[in-house]
Amino acid sequence: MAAPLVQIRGLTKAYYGQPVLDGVSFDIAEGEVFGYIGPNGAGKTTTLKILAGLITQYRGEVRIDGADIAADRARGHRLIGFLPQGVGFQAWRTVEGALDALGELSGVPADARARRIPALLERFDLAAARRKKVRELSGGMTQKLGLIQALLHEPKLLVLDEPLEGLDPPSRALLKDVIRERQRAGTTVLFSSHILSDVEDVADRVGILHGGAIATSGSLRDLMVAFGEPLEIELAWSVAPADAGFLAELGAAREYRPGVWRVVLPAGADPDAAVHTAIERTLAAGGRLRRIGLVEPELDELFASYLARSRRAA
Amino acid sequence: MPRNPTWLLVRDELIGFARSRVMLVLWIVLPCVALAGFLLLRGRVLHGARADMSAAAFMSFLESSLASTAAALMIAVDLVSERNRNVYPLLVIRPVRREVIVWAKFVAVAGCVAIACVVSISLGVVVDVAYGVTPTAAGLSATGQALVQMTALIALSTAAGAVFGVLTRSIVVAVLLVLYVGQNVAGLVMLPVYLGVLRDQFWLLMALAGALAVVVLWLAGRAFRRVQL
Repeated sequence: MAAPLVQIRGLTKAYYGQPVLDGVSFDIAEGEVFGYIGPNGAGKTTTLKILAGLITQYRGEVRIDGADIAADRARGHRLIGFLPQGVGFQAWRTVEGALDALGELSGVPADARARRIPALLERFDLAAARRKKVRELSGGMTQKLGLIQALLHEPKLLVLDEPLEGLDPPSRALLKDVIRERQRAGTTVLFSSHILSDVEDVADRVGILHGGAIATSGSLRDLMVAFGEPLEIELAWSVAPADAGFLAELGAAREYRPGVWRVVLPAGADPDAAVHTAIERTLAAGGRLRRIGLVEPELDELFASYLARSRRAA
Repeated sequence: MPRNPTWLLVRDELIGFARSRVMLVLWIVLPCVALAGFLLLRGRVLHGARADMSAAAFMSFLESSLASTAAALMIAVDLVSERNRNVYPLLVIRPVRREVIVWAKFVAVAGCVAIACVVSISLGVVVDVAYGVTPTAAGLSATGQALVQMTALIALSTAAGAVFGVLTRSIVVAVLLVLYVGQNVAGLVMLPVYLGVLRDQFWLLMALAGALAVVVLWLAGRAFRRVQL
């Protein structure tokens, strides 16, 4: 893992005596896309606001590029591009004017602003609205404008709080493309979302915030192992075999959809051997396969499974 | 080369306020209404107790009762509504000192309202000349003093309005605080005159008002630094 750009240690924050964050610690490597998920009220937004310097009263240590943000806030501000949840702009400004003013405040030179603003407006399909007043924009357009202002000064660290909120499917796909592009350009991205399939699409690693602390973090495969989720294979038949009883020998089999079966393998079973056996037995029983393979875990399922386990444990 | 963020914020706030609907009223409608009022009441005023009241004096009388309250309400309501609309995070995450956001707003509001007062009173002087009243040195001096006093009151009220705008998240509460507390703070400037002290110390009094405005504004900035956005 590359050197961490973001280091959070023992982050603790309470509102009116009620703890929200209770010793949150995690690192984000330079150039990594980190998805931050958790149930409502878990403290995701609070974490991101502390990182962005909006909340200054907390305990713990937050370092960006080695610098403690409590001691050197200006350095953090130079490195971060931030999209807050429910972003707002001064209503009297035009779209172009708002971006120009914020870019200038970030220290982007006039010639760079003149290049980047039209290009980003075009990219996010806001070029036609560039002379509109911000108050005339829809929620989705305001969200896109918020994303553009976060990207405008080409920050080293992009912190996005629920960036996909209010975006239509094409815009969500576009944002995911932009995140991947920024990653290729070396930008580190931390974003929270409750649309877990979107997190799954772009995040290298995922951190689950629960009970005021990072319950676990890692790649999806890491999380599956950490949660003790069993491996599962899925097979779809174009011609069903005369006898499908062999599936029960591989593990716990169930018809997932008509013509599609899933088999949960017992602990320690070799998934490659199970796939091989399923192919052989299907063909031997006169069946034909359309598709077979390991089921990739979906983040929603992992998260739901994790929450259910936590509740049972509690 | 990028310019100083403080100047950028002040410039932007000045442009924003100067073009706002409220300022449009103060720039144009208020002087027009004041002028219409003067013209309607002119005969009665001239034959009443204040028979010597000129248009300039009438304008400054009207403005002094409205301008400082309007300025305090404008800044308080603007701060609360922008905070509630989540506008400040985008400024605070940039290399800008938090208190500068409040100071810029103060300069914009107090400056625009003071200029509106100058416009109104100047209009009054023009009307006086049109009616054949030759401006005298004493008259111009009195008008100048009225303007200075008005500016000091506007500065103090606006600073008090900034404190209330920073401290509360409800527009109604901010308005009530401005009307019932802020105006008393502004009245402090005139207290020595009412008490019979510093009666002939106009400039000292104005300097004290200015200093008080600076202290109150500094407090507003300090409070904004501690706001958890």
